[in-house]
Amino acid sequence: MEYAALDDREVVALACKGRETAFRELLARYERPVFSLVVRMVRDPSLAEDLAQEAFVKAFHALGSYDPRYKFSSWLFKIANNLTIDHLRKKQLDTVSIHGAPSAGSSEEEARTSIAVVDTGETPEEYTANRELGGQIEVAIGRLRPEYRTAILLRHVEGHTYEEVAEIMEVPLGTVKTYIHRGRSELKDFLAEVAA
Amino acid sequence: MSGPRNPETPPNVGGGDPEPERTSMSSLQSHPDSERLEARAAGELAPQEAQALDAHLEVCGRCRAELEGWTLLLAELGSLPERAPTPDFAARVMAQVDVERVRQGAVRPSPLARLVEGLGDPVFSALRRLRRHRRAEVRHPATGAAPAGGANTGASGSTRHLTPGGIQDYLEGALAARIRARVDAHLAMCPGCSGEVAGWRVLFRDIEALPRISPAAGFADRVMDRVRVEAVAEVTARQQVPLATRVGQRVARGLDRIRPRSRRGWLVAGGLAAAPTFGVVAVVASVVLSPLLSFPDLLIFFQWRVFAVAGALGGRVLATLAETPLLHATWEALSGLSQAPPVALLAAFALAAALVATASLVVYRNLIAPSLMGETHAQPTA
Ligand SMILES: [Zn+2]
Ligand SMILES: [Zn+2]
Repeated sequence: MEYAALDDREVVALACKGRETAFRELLARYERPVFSLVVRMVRDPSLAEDLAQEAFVKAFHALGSYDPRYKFSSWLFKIANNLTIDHLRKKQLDTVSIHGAPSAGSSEEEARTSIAVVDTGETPEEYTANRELGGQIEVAIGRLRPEYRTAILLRHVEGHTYEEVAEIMEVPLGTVKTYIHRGRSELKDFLAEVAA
Repeated sequence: MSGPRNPETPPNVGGGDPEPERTSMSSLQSHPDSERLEARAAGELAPQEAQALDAHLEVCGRCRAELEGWTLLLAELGSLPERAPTPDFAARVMAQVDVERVRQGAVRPSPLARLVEGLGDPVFSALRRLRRHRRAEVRHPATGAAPAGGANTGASGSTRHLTPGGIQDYLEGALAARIRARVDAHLAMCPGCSGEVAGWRVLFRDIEALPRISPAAGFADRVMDRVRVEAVAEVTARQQVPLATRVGQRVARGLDRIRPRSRRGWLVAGGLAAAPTFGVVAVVASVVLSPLLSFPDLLIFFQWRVFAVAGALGGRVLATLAETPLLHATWEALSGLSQAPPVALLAAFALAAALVATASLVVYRNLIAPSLMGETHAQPTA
């Protein structure tokens, strides 16, 4: 079966008929895009692997509910993005309970923890991941709020239109524009700061 | 760098509109130039000037579209932090000015006013220069120096510089042609802004150069180990067969297409959906509370009305229909209902209303994406 000539919808249709090669074709087309987004969101390759796997498994098992009027890539990214955000939300809660004042043994320890967090805004794993991803632009992207980051990555790395980004992130178009504009402005400031 | 055209950009309607109707004031008959529209968008026109311009905008779609473009271009100004050059600069200037006299002089030209104008003009231009300086400072952080306002303009002696939002729209190709041309013209003579644009271009290039990152080898195999291919096919096949489902999906898509897209839209829709129920409740309540009316009376009244309308509209056909057992049974049921105590009816309607309201709420909460993640996300401040 020659898949190169088929568009996503046709490949999905074949997958729905139970062709394993069609699933593999979809993976070949989207494993890098999806993994790239997720790993830049969570800044942890092994966690990103889990989340990206989860996204594909979930999408494949839900192929029957995919509406071909939408772009397959938007639908897939929406699933991946939702999983990632759920994870970040959960992590945020955990982080609060770990780093919160009550769990700190002494006031000295408390101060040290809070300084470390304020200093870089990164957990140690994130710090490592940022260095691994390398490059100042990667570091700067890692410092953006998650919603700015998602919007900018979808727009610029994946080349989605503003409408598609709005569809994937499930926010109004105007909000997407705000995210992207503010995100870019922050990136510019970060980079100017580093250069100075 | 041509990104997809931003749909929020107003269409360039230059010349497409009919000329505005002739209005009484001669100043409204000609289109204001871009300079003035730009000043209007920036809120820099005197109140009277602005009023006259607004009167024109009222009748002229072409100018309105251009104004919208300028507003878009200047939109982010308000959100920029402003830094005054020296803390007490404005205070020092204002200390030398009797504001009230200047203001009156501006409104009513008189010998005294002209005298005051002599004093007021330098102040106003100083203040305007101050504003421009602040903006330029914000907008040209890299160079540190504000481009000299007025050095690079024509007759008006003032110029406005590009905002970060405007530059981003420009680089994405999201500006209407007329505004784009103005931006090009400005860039050609403003080193400050072209430097800024160059900086933004570098950023755009850097972001777009971000590589995709591959997952560890064997990713596809690991995913496929977890996918039950036959199950997917089975489920999909089952989903594809029934005609009723497909019709249902069609209806759902139709509904999806017309469903409101904004919170306000949902509120209105919810209100409209709940309104009839509340209306019925109101009617029922008024009947219950009125000593002169009873349900059987009301039903008989409606029966008369319905048959009168039916007779008028459809004659035989409707009359035949009215005699079918089904309609009769429905009528019986309704009559039976009317025998129920009014309080029970009222309670039933209230329940229905509550259900409708709850349903609206549920739909609203579920279909409107909650504002995405992390309202409380900690923002590392640089
Ligand atoms: Zn006009
Ligand atoms: Zn300029």
